[in-house]
Amino acid sequence: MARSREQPHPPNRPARGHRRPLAQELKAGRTLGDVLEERLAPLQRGPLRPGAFSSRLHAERVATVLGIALGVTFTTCFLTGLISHFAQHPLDIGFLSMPASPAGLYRVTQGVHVASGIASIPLLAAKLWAVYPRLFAFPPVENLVHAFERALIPFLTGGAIFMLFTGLLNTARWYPWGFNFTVAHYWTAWIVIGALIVHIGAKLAVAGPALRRPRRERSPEPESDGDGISRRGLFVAAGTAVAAVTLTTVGQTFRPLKDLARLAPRRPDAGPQGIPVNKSAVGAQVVDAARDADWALEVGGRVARPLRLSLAQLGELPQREAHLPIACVEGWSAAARWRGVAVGTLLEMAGAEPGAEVVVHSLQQRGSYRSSRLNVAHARHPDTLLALQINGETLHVDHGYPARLIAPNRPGVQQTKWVARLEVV
Amino acid sequence: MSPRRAPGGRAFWILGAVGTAVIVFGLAGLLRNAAQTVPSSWATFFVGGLLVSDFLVLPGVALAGVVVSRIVPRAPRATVQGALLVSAALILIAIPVLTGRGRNPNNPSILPDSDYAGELAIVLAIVWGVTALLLLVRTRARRTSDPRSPTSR
Repeated sequence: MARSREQPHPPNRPARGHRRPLAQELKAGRTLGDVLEERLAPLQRGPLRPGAFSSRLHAERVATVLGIALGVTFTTCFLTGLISHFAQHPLDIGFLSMPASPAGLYRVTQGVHVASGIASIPLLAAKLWAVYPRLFAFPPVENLVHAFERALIPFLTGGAIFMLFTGLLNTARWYPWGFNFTVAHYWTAWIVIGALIVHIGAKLAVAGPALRRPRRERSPEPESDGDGISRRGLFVAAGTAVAAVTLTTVGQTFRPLKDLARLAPRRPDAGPQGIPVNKSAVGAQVVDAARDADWALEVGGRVARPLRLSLAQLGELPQREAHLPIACVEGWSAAARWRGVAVGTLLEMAGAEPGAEVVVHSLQQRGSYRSSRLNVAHARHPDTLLALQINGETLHVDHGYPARLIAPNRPGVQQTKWVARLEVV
Repeated sequence: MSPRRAPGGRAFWILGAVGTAVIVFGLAGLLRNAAQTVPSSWATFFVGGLLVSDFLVLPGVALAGVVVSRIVPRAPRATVQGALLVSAALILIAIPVLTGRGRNPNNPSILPDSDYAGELAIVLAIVWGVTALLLLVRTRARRTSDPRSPTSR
């Protein structure tokens, strides 16, 4: 803290007991901070006293560098999160609708979403430590502008903690709260990004000059040695922590690192037929319906010739094979060789119009993901399959036996399993 | 850090207005979807996260810092602190898999590892192994540059 303590009492301080109203003080040209400092002086103890925080990591530069890193990871999280949100809740704006290629795009954006969220955890921890003394800044506010900035800080810190906490727990499917994760995570993201915009505006004046200064002059007060970790040391440690948490988790989607993913909630090869599952047949309560020998696929809605095809009849139609990833919103992904009937083939057989969208209905009776919608690009893509096989084997019931949807560039929750009906709309 | 420096300027006001509007948009979205966002539960976790970090975790870090500065000699202290930070980050991100609360008997592909504690122990052992190696190498380097020579510091 740079404030001088030699003169605790400003010369123009009025005598005790002769306090003027706050409005008069401010009119007389004193700042809110000066008045508060004087009036709240008796409270300035414990963490509020000057020099209460001795760590040399509570420096402007530490806060700035970590803040920039967090700005990058949070913006990445926000943008990739929006992609995932609008893939599942499409805006009816043509050019913004999710394209069907490249096939692995969503796998990358959602993998990056979860990875940059996890990478943010050590960064946020270090950042909160760096700025911790500011929670106890004295006087609490300097003027009304500063009061406005400070009042919005809890939205930033509380929101950032909320996003990382809920996101991390969701990857491990742990829900200790009463709200719907996706809805709360989505709307809170707007709060955090709004607070980040305010914060960047407030810090531009501070961070800009600090970073523009030549390297030699950036830390005018040289670090005292021996007092533990240095600022630079903290950056190295934080970078190492980011690398460590990334290397031990990112293998859940980035297959070359799968053997390092010791702390990941998923392994890309752990599951029936070597592919993870998000919802099992038992969990979806479809075991009997899926194994029913009378199962048949219906193709209906706005079609010229409604279809009803048994599993055997589906197997006799031209089969197509596609190598596609299943990429879950929770950040894991795994590619497989899928084989089945192209949805486009079925639409043509039923005489659907080329510009039609399709709602894919599951046998599932309950659950928010029991149906999904194929936009035109997905509905007509040759690799969009009603898959009957995975890697040369009949689908395991947990993978959607007798038939499941698999399409390129699509969140896993929209790859509807145990398909009962294609409804052309 | 100059406490007297308060924000201001055109960029501050423009970004302040835009950001506030975005915050209001987010809050309004939460309230419009109250049936799903359950504001009471949301607020508990939002405020709870702040309170736990500000008045439990961060004071804990301060306390840990004091303890480390008392018991760890000066020379290796910085490296030990760095290793502690890395360890804390790994433990933090492993908490959800360690609790195993997401386990589901009908879906063994969630949390497929039966012993995440063991995995974490191995990862931490590697972190501290590397730390020890680093300290050893540094001590050697200092010895070979002869600490008793008057020209070395």
